[in-house]
Amino acid sequence: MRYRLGRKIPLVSLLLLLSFSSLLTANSSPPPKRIVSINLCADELLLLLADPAQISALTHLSHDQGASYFQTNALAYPTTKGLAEEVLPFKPDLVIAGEYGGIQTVNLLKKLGLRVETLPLANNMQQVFGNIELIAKLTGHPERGAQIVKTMQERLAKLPAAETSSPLAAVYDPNGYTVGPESLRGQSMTLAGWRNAGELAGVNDYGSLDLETMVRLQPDALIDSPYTLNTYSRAEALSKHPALRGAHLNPHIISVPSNMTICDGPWIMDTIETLQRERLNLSNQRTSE
Amino acid sequence: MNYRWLLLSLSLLVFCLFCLSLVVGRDPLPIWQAANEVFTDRSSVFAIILTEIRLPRALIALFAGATLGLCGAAMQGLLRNPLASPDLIGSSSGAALCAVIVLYFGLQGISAQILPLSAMFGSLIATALVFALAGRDASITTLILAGVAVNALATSAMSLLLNLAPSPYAMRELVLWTMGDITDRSMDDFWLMLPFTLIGWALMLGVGRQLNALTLGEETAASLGVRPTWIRWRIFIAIAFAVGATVATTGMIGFIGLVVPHLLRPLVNYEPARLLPAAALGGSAMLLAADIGVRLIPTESAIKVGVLTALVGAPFFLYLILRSRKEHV
Repeated sequence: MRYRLGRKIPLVSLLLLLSFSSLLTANSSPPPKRIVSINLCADELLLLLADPAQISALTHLSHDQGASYFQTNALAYPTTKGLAEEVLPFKPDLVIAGEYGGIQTVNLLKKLGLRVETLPLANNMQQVFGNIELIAKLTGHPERGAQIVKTMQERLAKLPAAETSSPLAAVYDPNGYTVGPESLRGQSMTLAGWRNAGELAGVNDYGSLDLETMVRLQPDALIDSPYTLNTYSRAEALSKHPALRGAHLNPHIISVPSNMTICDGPWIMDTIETLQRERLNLSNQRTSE
Repeated sequence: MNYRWLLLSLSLLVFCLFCLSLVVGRDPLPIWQAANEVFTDRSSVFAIILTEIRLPRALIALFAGATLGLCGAAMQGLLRNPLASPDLIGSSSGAALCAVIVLYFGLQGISAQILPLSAMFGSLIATALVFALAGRDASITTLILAGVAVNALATSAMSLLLNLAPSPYAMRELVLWTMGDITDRSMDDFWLMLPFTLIGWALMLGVGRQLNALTLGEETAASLGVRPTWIRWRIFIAIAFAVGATVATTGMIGFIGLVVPHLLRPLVNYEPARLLPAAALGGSAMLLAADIGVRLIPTESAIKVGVLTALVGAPFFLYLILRSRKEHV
């Protein structure tokens, strides 16, 4: 399911929330009208949560199909490469930056008197909810954030409980980079009922998997997110390696589009459900064999 | 070429590039309107872009370039080795290491000035370490070895931190910092860099004549009243301050300190004293030009100025080597 922007919230809850939020926002400042984002993940959450008229500019990456989940929606907005002198002419009343990169720019913009807020990196579902609520609050639409988080939590609750003999999977990025349980992608694997080979290999958040570990652990599936579709995939190339062929290891490859893994948002639920479907397919194949 | 004319034309070049640096950007700035608004309406966007974004950028390029050129010339004159560069005594890598430590532990959130301040601290510590390793009356070889050792130590510690970076994003931030960049610095950064740079430059005053004497060899120079050990430490401390302040503000910008003195040496008749001011002007011109270059090259993500100077500098250096081989063989 793809999230359409500005989808309708049931009328009753809307009225309730409106009366609520008017009470809450009565004393606080009015919502920002010219928001400039200098971080791709802030772009995506703004496109999800803000009114189109509130957004002044996004990053150039938001127009990139491989990186941006809401790429088609982003095309309607001007972009910057996140330089201070590009941001200023929009006269923003709110600039949203990422946690990493551009410290100099953030310092300069703050010094020039602009309001700069930072969107942290999410390492688990709780932090994804937190980020959605944060941007919803900053844009003056906390009710939208609350609604989206509620839907996500309902979908999470519907996931079947993990079985004891769950198959083993590993995230496999270029150079063997993988994730552990304290990362969002690691957590989404576990939620989808996979055991994480990265975790067994001792990776906590980010780390790498070498061939020896792969041969030893024999993962049933590799999860990769090639940045450009239909090109060279590290995971596919890896399965042709003599060591893996010799070990009769032929992991099933699950491809998750890179624009769903680079940034966090409600689409993480789609990823989890895809991973879970793949797991059930694999288990069915194994039992029928 | 007449020395006076050389300095004059270099100054003119630096002045033109400085002005160009204020005009050129990703979007061209209506410069007259902006200049007018600086005096009439200081809150206008153009005035702010001109005075708070492009001006510090151009000033930092001017001073950082001059420091790199000057220190390169002084170092090559002192060691009488054309391969010497200001990075040799560890001040750059010490500064970079401390900056990377700050970024790694996320301390930059505490205050905007913590990054340049700790980088400058690192530069001084690294030079002091070279000093301690080599001893007060060290020979030049011992000094170079001590410098190489401290550089290796700092670089490996930096690699360790990159290796342990908590996420790919953090690693990217660390790597990009070390590449050398002047984008989006503020006047605060410039004011912080200025006093240390000036201390360094002041220590270099009057060094030229002694460097001239040193070209005759240390013993002859000593008989002319030059104290080689003393002049060595004076230049080292000057470099620690000036290069430390530069690296703290811009990251590591390579090749300017190496190439610019080479380029200008024939024009000043191979005289170290005359090379110092010329190399300072030449360094400014080169860094300003490179920084204008990175703004004009239309790439997806902005090229860092340190990458451009290295890209242009390395082939040029090869050409110099080939030419000198032809002359000598």
